[in-house]
Amino acid sequence: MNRRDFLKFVGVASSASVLSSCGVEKSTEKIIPLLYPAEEGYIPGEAMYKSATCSECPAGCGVSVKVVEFNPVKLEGLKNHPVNDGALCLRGQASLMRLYHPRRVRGPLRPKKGGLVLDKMSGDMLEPVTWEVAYQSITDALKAARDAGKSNVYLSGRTSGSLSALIDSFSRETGVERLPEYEAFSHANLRAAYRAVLGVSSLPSYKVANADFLLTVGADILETFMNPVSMGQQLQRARETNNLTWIHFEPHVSLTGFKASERKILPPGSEAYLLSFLLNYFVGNQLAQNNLPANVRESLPDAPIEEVVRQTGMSEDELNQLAQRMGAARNPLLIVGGVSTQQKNGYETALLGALVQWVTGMTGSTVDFSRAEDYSKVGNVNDLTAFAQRLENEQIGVAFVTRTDTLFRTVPAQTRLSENFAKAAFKVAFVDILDQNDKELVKSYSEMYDLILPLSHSLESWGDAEVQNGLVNITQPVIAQTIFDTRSEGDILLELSRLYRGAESAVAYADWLKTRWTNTYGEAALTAALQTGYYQRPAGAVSLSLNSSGLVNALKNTELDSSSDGKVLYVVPSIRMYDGRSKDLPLTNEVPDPLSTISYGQWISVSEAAAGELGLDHNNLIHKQREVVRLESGGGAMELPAWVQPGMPDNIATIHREQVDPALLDVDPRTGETLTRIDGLSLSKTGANAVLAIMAGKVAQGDRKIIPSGHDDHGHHGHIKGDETLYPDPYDRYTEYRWGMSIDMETCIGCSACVSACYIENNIPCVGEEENVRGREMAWIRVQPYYNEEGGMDSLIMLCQQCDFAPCENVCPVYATYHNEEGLNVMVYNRCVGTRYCHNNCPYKVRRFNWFDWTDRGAWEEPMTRMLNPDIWVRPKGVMEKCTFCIQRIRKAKDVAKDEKRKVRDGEVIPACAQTCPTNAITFGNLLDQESQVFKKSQSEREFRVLEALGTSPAIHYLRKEEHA
Amino acid sequence: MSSHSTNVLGSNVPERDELYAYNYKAKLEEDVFAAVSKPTPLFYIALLTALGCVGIGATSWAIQIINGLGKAGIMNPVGWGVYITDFVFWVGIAHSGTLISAILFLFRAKFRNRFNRTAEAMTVFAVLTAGLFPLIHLGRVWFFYWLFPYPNQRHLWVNFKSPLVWDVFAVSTYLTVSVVFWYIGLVPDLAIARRIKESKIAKTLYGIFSLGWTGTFKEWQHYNQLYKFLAALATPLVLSVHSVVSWDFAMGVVYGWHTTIFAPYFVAGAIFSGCAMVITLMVPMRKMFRLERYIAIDDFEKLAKLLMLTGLIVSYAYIVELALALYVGKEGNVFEYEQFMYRLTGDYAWAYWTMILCNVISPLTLFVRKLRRNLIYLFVLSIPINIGMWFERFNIIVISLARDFDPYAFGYYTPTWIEWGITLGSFGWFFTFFLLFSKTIPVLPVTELKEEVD
Repeated sequence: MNRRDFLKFVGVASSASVLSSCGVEKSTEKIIPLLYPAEEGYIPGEAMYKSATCSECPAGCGVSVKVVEFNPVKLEGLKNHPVNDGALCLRGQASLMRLYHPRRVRGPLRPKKGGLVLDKMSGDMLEPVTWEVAYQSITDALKAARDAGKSNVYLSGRTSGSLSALIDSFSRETGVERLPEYEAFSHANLRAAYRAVLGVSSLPSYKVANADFLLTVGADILETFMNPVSMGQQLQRARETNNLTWIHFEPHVSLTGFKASERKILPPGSEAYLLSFLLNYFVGNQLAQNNLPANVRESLPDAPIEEVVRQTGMSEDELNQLAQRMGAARNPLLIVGGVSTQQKNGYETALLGALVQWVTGMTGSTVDFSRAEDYSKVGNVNDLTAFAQRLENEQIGVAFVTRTDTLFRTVPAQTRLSENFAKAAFKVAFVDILDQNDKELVKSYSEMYDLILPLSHSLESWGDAEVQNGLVNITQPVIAQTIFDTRSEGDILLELSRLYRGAESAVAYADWLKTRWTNTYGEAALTAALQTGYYQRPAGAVSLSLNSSGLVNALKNTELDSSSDGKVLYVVPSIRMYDGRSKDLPLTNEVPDPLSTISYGQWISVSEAAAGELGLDHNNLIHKQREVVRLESGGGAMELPAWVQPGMPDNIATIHREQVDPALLDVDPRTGETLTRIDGLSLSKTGANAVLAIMAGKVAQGDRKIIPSGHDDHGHHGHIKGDETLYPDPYDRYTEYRWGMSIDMETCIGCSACVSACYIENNIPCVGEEENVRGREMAWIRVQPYYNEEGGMDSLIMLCQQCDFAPCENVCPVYATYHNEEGLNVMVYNRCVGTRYCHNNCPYKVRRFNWFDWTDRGAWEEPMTRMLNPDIWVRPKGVMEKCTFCIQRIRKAKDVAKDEKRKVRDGEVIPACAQTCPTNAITFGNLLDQESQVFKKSQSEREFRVLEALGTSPAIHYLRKEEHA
Repeated sequence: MSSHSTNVLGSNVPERDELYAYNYKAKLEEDVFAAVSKPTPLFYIALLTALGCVGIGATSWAIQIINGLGKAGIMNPVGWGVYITDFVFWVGIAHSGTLISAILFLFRAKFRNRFNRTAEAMTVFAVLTAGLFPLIHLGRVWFFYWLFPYPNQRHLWVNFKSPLVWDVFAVSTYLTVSVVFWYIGLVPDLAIARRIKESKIAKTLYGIFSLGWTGTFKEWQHYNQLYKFLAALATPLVLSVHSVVSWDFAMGVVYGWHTTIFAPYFVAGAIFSGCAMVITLMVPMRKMFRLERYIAIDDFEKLAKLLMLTGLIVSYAYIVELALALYVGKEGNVFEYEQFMYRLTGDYAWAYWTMILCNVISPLTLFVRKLRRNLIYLFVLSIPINIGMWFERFNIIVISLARDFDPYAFGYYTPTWIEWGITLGSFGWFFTFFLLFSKTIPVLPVTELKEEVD
């Protein structure tokens, strides 16, 4: 071939191949194989939502579980649920960690007994056994106990719905006695009072939403009392529609108190006098809507006005004014509870409270028994004392303990339950989390129990819960297979019952449930309930009448006076740990306590004056060191670092319930209520210092005017495009959206649910106590308490302000952080080299640096990686991170909007913090849209922006508290 | 010939050295190269110690790279701590070299000839040390090259608005110019070394680095022009480098950083610390290398006067900062006011008052002529000044960040052993270079000193 021919051939061949590769054939398709087969309606990358019930407290909030590729990754309140309507508290948000907790019990365990000497030396151990062996040992023990004439007992936490019915049938079939249920917060006095006054054994639901005047005495309605999320939401509704006035009386200091319109401090024990005064006022002045029969009136405890004044420290005028305001209200509501009903005269306080509710006509209207919470099976501490007695007499064979405080750490020591518990012949604990690296814990379990059965998480099994009368939450398993070798309580009981009876066919709990549901609700209602997540019967009318004979009886043994001269310790419930059950979750420890900002560890809160009296040198210690004090009272003593709590009365100290030594707790023998007020407290300085993970440098703003005081109308209400200014209009850069937020400090209750939600949504690691003490928390959003000199407290929610002129942006040498055209101050994690200049230059200090590879350090220990939100990265070490208004949610909404060829609608994007807020204090939206909620709020008279004088022009518009008369 | 007036050294060389002065040039070469040639056991001990410190620093850094920056004590809200303090400290040390060699050269201040070689060497090594810290403090040091504007396929560019990028250019320019200036000044001396040294390897190496210098008239003509030109080029750098470093802070919004006086304040501080470091290095070197004949008390006194001057400027800056904060007061600017009150009385007051004692009070003693002419006193004084200047940067960086705007985000920073280890390593790194320098390169500019007698 010559050169010319060669070139021709090459030319033809190459042009042919070029031509043939032009254009797309019609049959060409993109083939992207699915990593997971699209079974059961799962679409890879798409989130599914299933409903469940939160089990971190008995409130029974409905939960919507976001499931991505078979893994639940986020819990949100179930929209329109009668209890919580879309919101969830900080514990509820954190409870997802319970499912993936690396310390979950992974199969049945039993203490290793006998064996080699070497085993003995290594301490107590728990060894795994198979389910067959476990079941066999239980049935053997049940039969042995029956033969020995001992009783077998079943002790659980509060149970409702189908599971309660199953326990009943299990008890019948196997001859097990079902003990009264144990709840640390059993409201025993409150229930006893309602039983005495109305003859009911349940707790009402308080219709805060319908009230225009709310008086709370001791009840921490925003923290743990009954259903705090619901309370928060209802408060907000009542404020909007009824112009609610809320007065809170308490002997100590609580978050609830600070968030009330008026907080009043009562001396310990004087609550009963206040209520007695109110009762006398309404009865005596003929203002009562329901009158008291003469015999009741005669047996009422005597509380002359002079004594009321002396005890409460309020003047007669003040008392009368209060009563008048209450009388003038159209829908008043009185809630008595919490610490006020857990003291020596707590029963009297509760009784008087119930009577005031009765005479003012609240009972039946704002105190609603048609949606009552059923506590009929819940016992009290007296029941545990009786149980301990039977244990001591060796009358107990098999003891099942489930879904409650299995080591009885909240049970007052005087019941002698924990010391006698081992005397039962065979003890079975149903446990979900047990840290087997904790030698102490393993020792306790191996001493107290013969068998430990792992419980499945409620997201792993079918279930229901009757949270209120006529309201049943349906829980569906959202995870295809249990993560570990665990079983649901229902399955365990059904199997045990079958083995005990020697029956052939096994029934799964799921089938048992479905049969029961179909029989109870019918097919159609069941299908509907599965879709909505709950089943609700219309509330039937409840006829209530005064139980005068019982009441007269109850009033016989009453003693109003319970005042105390000395120091008083209040054991208060914790918004983070409830009664201690949420203690195992990393996140409830990591999110700081909203009052003290302490994350990890134990402490006692005292007043400034008390600290001075003790000679505590808290001002000269470096930020996170505090002096240790020794507290003693009758039964026990503890040594704890002291936190100076602003607003605390001088003779009062508080400690959280999960931190207290049960030896300090007393019991009211009449009602079996745990008394959490401890008199005769003596505090002394030990001279030692301890490091406490206090997250705030300071909890007062001094003269800094971070929250501007008073009404200085600076005329900067928000920003409207085209506002005249000498400088370039920052809004010129934005074309379609300028994302912004408004946070209403009037409605914010400081509950920290937003913080918790942000952690879960954005894969923020929990870094542990050591790093918290170092000041290396990773929270993108935080609740900053600022105590003021007037005795109040503001919770300032601090997160990235997405400034128009962000000081962080121009100092980044590599453009890792920049301003996008929607006003967001975005962060390109991949580009960050970690100079931390942006963090230094941020006046709000909301940027968070990854000091370590938190994954390596166990923040996402297996199987916790499964809870990571796949829509957002897990940031590696050496990279800065921060809030970007949940940009993944913005993107998602924009995608949808783009498909539908429209702009994103107002309210379509809700960041995780705003989504879970019980009081809707956080509003998010497009500031360019003058119809948007956020824009309207940004134009409010109350609007201010933090550190506005720096010229950063933040996109977060705070609304300052309203001036109260 | 009266004993003092015509003394070629222009100083107080004793009369019995008249004869010596007669044979000055030969003796000079001999003495200087005597110092260069003979490593003593003490030298090896010093070198090993310095290398040991480098080892400690390198280990600490390795631990930090493997585990993350959390191994250091920096935290929220103090994102910069000992590392940036060290960075500014070493950049400051690097300062007096160029000042002494370039500016004093242009001003024909002859006494600079005693110090310029060492000061320039110190400059180069201090910049090399300072340059490590921006790397050490990076969260992801393996991507340090992203700070340079290099063309790349993804069109990623650096942010020229960021003072950190200015730093990259300021420091690298300064390093380049300092090295070139130092090397050009070295060339004739290297040629002398080539002539004097006997070993073949030394002859070859000095031969290569002396660039074939023969000392012809033409060469000297070019050399002098180039040297003058480089001196003129380096002079603005003396002012610019530390100004740029100061803008790392002054461009920020943090009170205690955001001040217009920062550039001159930092330049004066840098010269202050640089002169102190020259004294720290030169006093023992003069003694050990027996250079008393060439470096006179008068020369040191001139350095001491420079110390006094810059010390006063620095003190003035402290007063201005404080006075402004007190003048605006709590009502005017509560953040600034409280920041400075916190410096005076807060958790870090000990660091602030250490700085005041070292940088304001101690240089005042130099007003006493007797003290400033006492070399031992000068040497002892130079060390607290170095310490004080380190604390000055520590105070600016750490105290300002520890309490900026939001009281919730106040914090307390304590350095860890990793940070101290790396700081120690930086001294080891600097002294390793310096020790090697003292045994390879004439520590006095032989040709320039010879010129003086011509």
